[in-house]
Amino acid sequence: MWDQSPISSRLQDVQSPRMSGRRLLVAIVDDEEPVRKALRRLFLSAGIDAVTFASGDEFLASMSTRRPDCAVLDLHLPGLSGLDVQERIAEAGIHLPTVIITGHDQAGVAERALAAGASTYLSKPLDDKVLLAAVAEAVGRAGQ
Amino acid sequence: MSRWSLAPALGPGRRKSIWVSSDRLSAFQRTALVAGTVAAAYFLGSLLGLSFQFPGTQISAIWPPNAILLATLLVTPRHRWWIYLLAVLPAHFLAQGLMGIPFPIVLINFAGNVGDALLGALAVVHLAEQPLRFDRLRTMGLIMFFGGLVAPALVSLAVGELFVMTGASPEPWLAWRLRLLTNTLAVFTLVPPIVMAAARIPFIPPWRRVEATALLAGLLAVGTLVFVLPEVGLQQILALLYVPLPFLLWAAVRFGLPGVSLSVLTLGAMAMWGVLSGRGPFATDLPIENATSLTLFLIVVCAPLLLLAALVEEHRATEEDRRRTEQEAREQRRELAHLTRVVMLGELSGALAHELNQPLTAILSNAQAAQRLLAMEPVDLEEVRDALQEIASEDIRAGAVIQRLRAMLKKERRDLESLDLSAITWEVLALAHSDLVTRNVSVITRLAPYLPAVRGDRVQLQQVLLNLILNACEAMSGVAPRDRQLTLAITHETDGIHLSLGDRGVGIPSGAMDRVFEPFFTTKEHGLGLGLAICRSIVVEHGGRLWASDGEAGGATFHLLLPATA
Repeated sequence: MWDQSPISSRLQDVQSPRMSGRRLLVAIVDDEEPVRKALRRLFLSAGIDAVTFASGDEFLASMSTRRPDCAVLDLHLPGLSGLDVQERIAEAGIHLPTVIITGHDQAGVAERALAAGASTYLSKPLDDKVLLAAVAEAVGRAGQ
Repeated sequence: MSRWSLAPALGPGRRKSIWVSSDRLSAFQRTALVAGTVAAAYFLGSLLGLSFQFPGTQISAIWPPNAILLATLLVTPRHRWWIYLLAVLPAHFLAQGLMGIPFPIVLINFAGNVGDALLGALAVVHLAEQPLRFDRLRTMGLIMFFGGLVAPALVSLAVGELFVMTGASPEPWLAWRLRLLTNTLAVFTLVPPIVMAAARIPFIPPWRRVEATALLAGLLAVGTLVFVLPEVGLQQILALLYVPLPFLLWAAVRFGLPGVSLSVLTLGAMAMWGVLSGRGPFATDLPIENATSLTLFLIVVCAPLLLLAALVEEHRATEEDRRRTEQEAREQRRELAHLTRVVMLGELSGALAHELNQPLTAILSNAQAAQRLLAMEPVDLEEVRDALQEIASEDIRAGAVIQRLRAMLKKERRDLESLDLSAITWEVLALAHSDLVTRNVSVITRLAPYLPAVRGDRVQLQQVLLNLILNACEAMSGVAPRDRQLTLAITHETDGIHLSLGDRGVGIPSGAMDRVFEPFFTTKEHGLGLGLAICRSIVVEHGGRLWASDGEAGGATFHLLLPATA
């Protein structure tokens, strides 16, 4: 079970009251509802709060009211792509750890995403341990 | 004994090789079998010729062995001719020995027979188009002229002289005339059925058997009426000789060359029967004159009908060739359409992987979330149930993606069915969905409700639409993402169901509006230029039209018009 894995022990670290005692909040941006719902359910089951957005614009608009600890951005979105969203956030001077996810792994995109400041680049389908560890690492790195 | 048949050397496709054995036989065994058969036929032909001998003479109305030999040479390769010529030698000696013919004459006859067949076959092989096609007027004309007239005429000159020298005939011209006529009739009546059978050209297809029986009955009836019932002599019944003509025409038009040959043979046999029973027009006092007139009568009747039958046959064969060519072209178009479909899906593979990865992501995350939920205390069963529910529905969705793909990749021909063009459009949009998202292309659809159905092949029409959509996306790759808009409309017009697909891309250069549908015309860097050409051929095969026009808001618009079903 995941409880024994080193990944989840690291997860325990980030979920610890080091983050001012509250639960982590992850923003999920994906144009497909079943994917959004499934990822949200996964995060909730791992003790992480999650909010979902169907487009980059929707997510960016929400940033003024509520800022998540980490954003999981789908690369292929109608309108602004995941990378566009990340760039907009960086341009706005906001430091937000991001995990880019994609169902269509193209050559060079991972490098571009990482160069643009994404913490991790993951291909769908996403294994829970890998995803949670990626989020933990992104948030952990941000917290250091 | 293995099944074998005389199949022509000499024609395209199904008529490829000469003595084609169906199986198991080696080339040697095959040749030996053919040689044996030819020898047997030669022997039987000699006996048949004998049975057609006029009473009180040694003159036959028809002399089959030479014709059998000629037919054999025509359907076998030249380098094996010597084998068959040697093979008939014992048959010749046996048959003529049984007839009590003196040895020198037997030798002269053999030389004459071989001369007839060789000379005729060489002339035909040299002058006719290769490979020989017996369903061609030219080939049949050459066989009749050289094999049936020129060769026996020349050879009979020599044979006539030799007969006079050996005392077998009082004067050369009589021998020449009799030998020529009997050989001519044999070539006219026996070579066509033999070579056609060897070429496996169907003579009486099963559904014509009733008709063939009726024709035979008619021939027997008129044969009896003309050749068997009347009293001796021609005087009062001259007109009766024309009575068989309609039946022979029937044979020529409906049963081709073998039909004519066998019908003339039938009439000839009945005439002989009449002669033997002392009745009919050819049973007068002078046997030699009788033999000559009967043979001449049959030759004169046979020749024009054979040419007519050859003409009909040629027409039919040409028509069949044209149909076959068309069929092959259709098959090739279908193959090409499949190939381009596969290539197109290959180009889409990334997007399709995405299309599959989405439901797989939802399934995996839901499953793993459910595992985590089940490990908690207390278990939130409601949430677990929801997760399972979504796993099931996402699985179905993934299955549908694979289903669509499989349908597009399938090769087999489908039957035409009644189709809803709107439904097809939605299916294609679903297939292209990820690609459209990746390329930032938005789609506006204006599909009229309650459209009549169109008749067509679902996969092929999907291919056309997918091709048009991908082309439009390609055309818009250079414009700003917010302008990448595809407008898809389906309306019911008076002349059919009209689908238009407008993009805001670079458009089509003036003058190339129709050239984009030509094969190998492409404006893309990596395109083959076949996509639209194949699309148009598919649409045309569906009885529709596919064309392009300038778009209203820039770009290009492609139009697809398909006839509506009632």
